[in-house]
Amino acid sequence: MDKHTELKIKIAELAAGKYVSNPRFTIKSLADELEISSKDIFELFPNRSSILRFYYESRLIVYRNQTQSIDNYGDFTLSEKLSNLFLSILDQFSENREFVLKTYPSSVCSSKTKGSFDKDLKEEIRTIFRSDTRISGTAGFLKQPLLYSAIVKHFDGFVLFWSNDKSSMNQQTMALIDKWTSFVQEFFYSKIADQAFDLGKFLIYASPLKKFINR
Amino acid sequence: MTDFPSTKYQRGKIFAQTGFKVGKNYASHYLKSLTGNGKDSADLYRKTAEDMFGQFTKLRGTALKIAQSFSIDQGFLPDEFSEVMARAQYQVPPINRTLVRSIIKRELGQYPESLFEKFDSEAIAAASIGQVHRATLKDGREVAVKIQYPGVRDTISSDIALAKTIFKQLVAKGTDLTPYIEEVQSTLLKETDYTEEGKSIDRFHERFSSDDVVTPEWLPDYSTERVLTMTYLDGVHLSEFLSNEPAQNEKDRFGQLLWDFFHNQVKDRKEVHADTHPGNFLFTEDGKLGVIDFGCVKTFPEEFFMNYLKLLPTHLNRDDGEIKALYTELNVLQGDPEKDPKEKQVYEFCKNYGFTFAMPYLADTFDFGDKEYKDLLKGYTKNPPFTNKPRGNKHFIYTTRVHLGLYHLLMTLGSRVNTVQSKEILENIFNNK
Repeated sequence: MDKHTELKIKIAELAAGKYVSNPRFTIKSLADELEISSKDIFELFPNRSSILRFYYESRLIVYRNQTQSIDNYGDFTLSEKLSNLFLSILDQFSENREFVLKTYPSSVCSSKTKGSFDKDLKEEIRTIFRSDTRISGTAGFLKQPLLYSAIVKHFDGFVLFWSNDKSSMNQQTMALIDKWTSFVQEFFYSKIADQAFDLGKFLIYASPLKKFINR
Repeated sequence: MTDFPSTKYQRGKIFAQTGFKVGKNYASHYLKSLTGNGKDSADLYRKTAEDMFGQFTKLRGTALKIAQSFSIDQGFLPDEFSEVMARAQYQVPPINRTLVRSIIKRELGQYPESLFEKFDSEAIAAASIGQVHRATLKDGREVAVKIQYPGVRDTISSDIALAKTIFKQLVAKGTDLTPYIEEVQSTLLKETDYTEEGKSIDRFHERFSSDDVVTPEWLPDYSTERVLTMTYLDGVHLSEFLSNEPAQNEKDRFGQLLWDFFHNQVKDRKEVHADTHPGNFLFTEDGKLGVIDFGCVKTFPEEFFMNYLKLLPTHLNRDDGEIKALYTELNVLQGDPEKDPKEKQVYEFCKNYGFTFAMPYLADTFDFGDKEYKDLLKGYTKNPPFTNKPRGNKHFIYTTRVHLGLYHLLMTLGSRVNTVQSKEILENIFNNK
């Protein structure tokens, strides 16, 4: 990660912390704490809300950076890669939990204010699915934008679950993600989609049901 | 009279042979009265066991723990089932590698690649409610890091209910598993606190670490309630040890260490390592016995424990009155055997099984490799006459598990053990020394 991005992330994370105690914090207060000038910050961000938006956008940058340090990431299964994505982001959210609880619904979930976090997340999910060679033939046809959008929605659900998770260290959220990703993997790796396709094809073309379908 | 009869030691060999015959005749008579152990039922058991195994491994922690218990205490289940279940000790679906990273980050504050010099993302062993990874600390120490499945504590009750349903299909109709399952449940709940296990590791290390026994050391700075870090012990498990076809003297040495470890624990009647299954013992290259996994340690009530231990010499004395009195105190006998035929059946069974169980304490040495003894013991443990009604103090669950677990290990090893010191320990206990 270059110095420029590193500084931007540092500013965004500090701003997220400040926002919780004072949503109208000043750029100067940020600059003072980071021992840089306000001008330095304005060169990177046009205004306060863009800093806060960047907090979310940068979660994927941090995730990618962390993922690079994982040995054998290329060998990870679909379930492991998806868990890594979701858990890494939630681990980061945990460090600014109050900020996320206050802002996540408005900055990400709301249809009016969808930022690039949403798009980046979808893109990352797409990359994970596209790079996986273990997905069975027919299930491969499901690798469509609609699938990735649906998974992004599921992630919003995980954040909601996490925000209400009272278990120690949010263990229940971890368990949910583990079970969910295992289920998704089972579906995509198994032959169930192939068999469903085979059954569907038979019903349409070869069975006595054909005459009803053709009516 | 509760002491081991010293005169019996001298004529122990002859007496053992006589007793062995009596026990064997009783066993063969008793087993004949039980129905069906033919090929068909064996095939059915195997198939059921394999089906169940799939369900069990998916259940992870709770069910695995029960499966582990059953694979030692072969008293409940047919051979075919126990063999398949024994696999549960080593084969469970691993926690996904990402989850392992995330658990360590949440519990210890950093991802493993930052916290450790080296961290092996592949688990080296499945623990009952988690798994163990090998790692190297920044200071170069080799450690084992046990990681708990997230949310295990919260799912124990529902898992227990499910496991109970599965097990009901396997045991005789009408068998009440509740006391057993409840005991496992409460033990499991305790086992979910790795800080407590860390403290147990410290206590056992202080009590037993010696020239013959090696136990890990707890590293509290790298541990929490759900992550347990301890020094790594190098060694092989029983199956690997046996696969190298060791010489008889090696088998005898490790068998003796296991036997002595058990009796040294009994000596001060403090805590007992109550998870006697092959996965928890290591045989080191320099001939030491490695003991690991201190999640399940038990302290038995003094009165129960004394009565339990007294069973050994009392059986060897073959004093009917004493035997009846002890079994009544231990709540195994629930009526007068002279008046109630069912109680008579239970009493006859206990008397003969108890004698067989106490046989290793008769002479100064005992050969656990004796196939006839193994078959005889198995005949009893697999066919108790009270499967439809729980009997005996609930603490029997763990004394049996530890003691019978020890016998199973020794029989699998085929060791010859010297029992002189162990008898002295027991005598000292009875004489309050």
